Amino acid sequence: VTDKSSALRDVIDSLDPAESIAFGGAGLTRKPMSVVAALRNREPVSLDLITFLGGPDIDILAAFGRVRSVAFSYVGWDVLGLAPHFRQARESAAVKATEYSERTFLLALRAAAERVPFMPTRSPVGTDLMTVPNSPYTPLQCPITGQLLAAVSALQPDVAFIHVNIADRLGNGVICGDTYADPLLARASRRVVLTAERLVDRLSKCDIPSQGRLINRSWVTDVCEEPGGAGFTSLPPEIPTDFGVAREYLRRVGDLDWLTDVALTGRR
Amino acid sequence: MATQQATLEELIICQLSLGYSGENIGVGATILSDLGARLAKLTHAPELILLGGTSLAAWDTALHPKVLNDEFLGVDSALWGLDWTEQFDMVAAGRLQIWLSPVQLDQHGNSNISVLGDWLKPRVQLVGSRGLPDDAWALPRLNFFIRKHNARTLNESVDFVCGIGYGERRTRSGMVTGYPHRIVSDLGVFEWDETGVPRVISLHPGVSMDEVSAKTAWEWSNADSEAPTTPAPTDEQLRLIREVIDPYGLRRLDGANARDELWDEIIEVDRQAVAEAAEKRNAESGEALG
Repeated sequence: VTDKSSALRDVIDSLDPAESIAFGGAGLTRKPMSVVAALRNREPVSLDLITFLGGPDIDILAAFGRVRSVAFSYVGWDVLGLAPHFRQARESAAVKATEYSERTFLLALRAAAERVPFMPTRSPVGTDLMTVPNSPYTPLQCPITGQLLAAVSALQPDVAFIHVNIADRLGNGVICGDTYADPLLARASRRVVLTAERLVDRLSKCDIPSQGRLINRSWVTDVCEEPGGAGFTSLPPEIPTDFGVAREYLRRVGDLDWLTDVALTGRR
Repeated sequence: MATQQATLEELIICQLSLGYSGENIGVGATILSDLGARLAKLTHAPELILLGGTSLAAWDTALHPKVLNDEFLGVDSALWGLDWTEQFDMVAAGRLQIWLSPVQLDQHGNSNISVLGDWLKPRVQLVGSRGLPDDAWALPRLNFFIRKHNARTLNESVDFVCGIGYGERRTRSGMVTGYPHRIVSDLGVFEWDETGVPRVISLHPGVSMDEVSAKTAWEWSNADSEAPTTPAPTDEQLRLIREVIDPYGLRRLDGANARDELWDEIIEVDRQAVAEAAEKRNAESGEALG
């Protein structure tokens, strides 16, 4: 059986600069922050990023000017408000945006997972999301009822990075808290890299709690052991969000040294 | 009976609780609306399905004190973890209840949480459309919670339409759901009638019709008449808010400008509550093993 465990640095070095990168997690929860740190340390290239609900992952890379485009339905700081560097990047038109609603982001991944070009939806019909540049939606008349719908194009990330509570060398990974888009993201992406809080040789049934969900090894290309890999974001049910760091971040806007020394190295 | 003095936040929580009923998911995008859902569960909506804050891993959780890291307290009594695809199937079926908190809302009920100014180069980038278009299409009625009522938020028009209100866009797109219904703000309670005309239902204590008119960019249809005062919370509602659902006082964070000291206090309380929950969980799993 193939041992899929690798060093994160080797995985990052193997990325083609043109490949689109998706991050799992949501807001201040289970963000693959050790991946963000490794991307920040790499030679400076501008990245095409994809995230269901973005937070410090998108924001830190935006702070370092490493973002060419972002596909998202949300980027923010949860209860604490807006993402400061993402804001600056959008307000200076430094990044290209593709904006989704939550459901249609999931449907775009669904289409990629099913290998079809689009999924039908009602969500954006009549809203301004339909008409902005880079809109992922095309007006669609239902062939059965004639109803006005929208087609949301398939979204297939080249590489997805997902932080999980526990994984094995075979490539199986378990998310114990809210899964967000991640199980679907794994099925939609060309290549899936799990960073794991803990790595074991082989998972067993008792490693999967009732709230837990398995990302099965057939989707997974690499597994990297990264304890503390969620940085100051949470890893339910083990590590809560460090709201102290999350708040300090908002007072340190533009302080790249602090971002490097504190926000990217984990906890104080 | 109301004998105790309620704060504005407590009055708002009681009004927000009225947006929740039946066997539906009750969630809040803000601390006060989350507390409204929890209060509803304890009073008139016992069948309501709560999440730990907004975490689907805490599906159908029992009531617990509101904290920042809510999932860590909610998960122990939760039945299982719902996935997001099923959650949006519940949205499509109209089985989710939420108070939307747009940054701009116009008189027709068009709402915006995406950007201020031009989308290509925004004056202010907000958080993105998130679930607003999904909710606005699918839910039977839309309710809005505006923490700071002013004419920039309750605006003549919105810069970017994330959710459709009454009017031409609605007719053109053939929508038969997602009708804007009620607004609760820090000044009062408001509703659109079935033709899409907004009117005042009640004003909070000390608020005048003139103040509301001055702080709204559109006209209320009954601005010339007297409006009743929003009912004060009952002593029982206040007890439930203060002792059961929000003993740590996170409702104070939804005040207009929460001070640093308050945040520091809440972050410390949060840390302790999460640590205690973890200790209890470890002790229980130790007993089970031993």
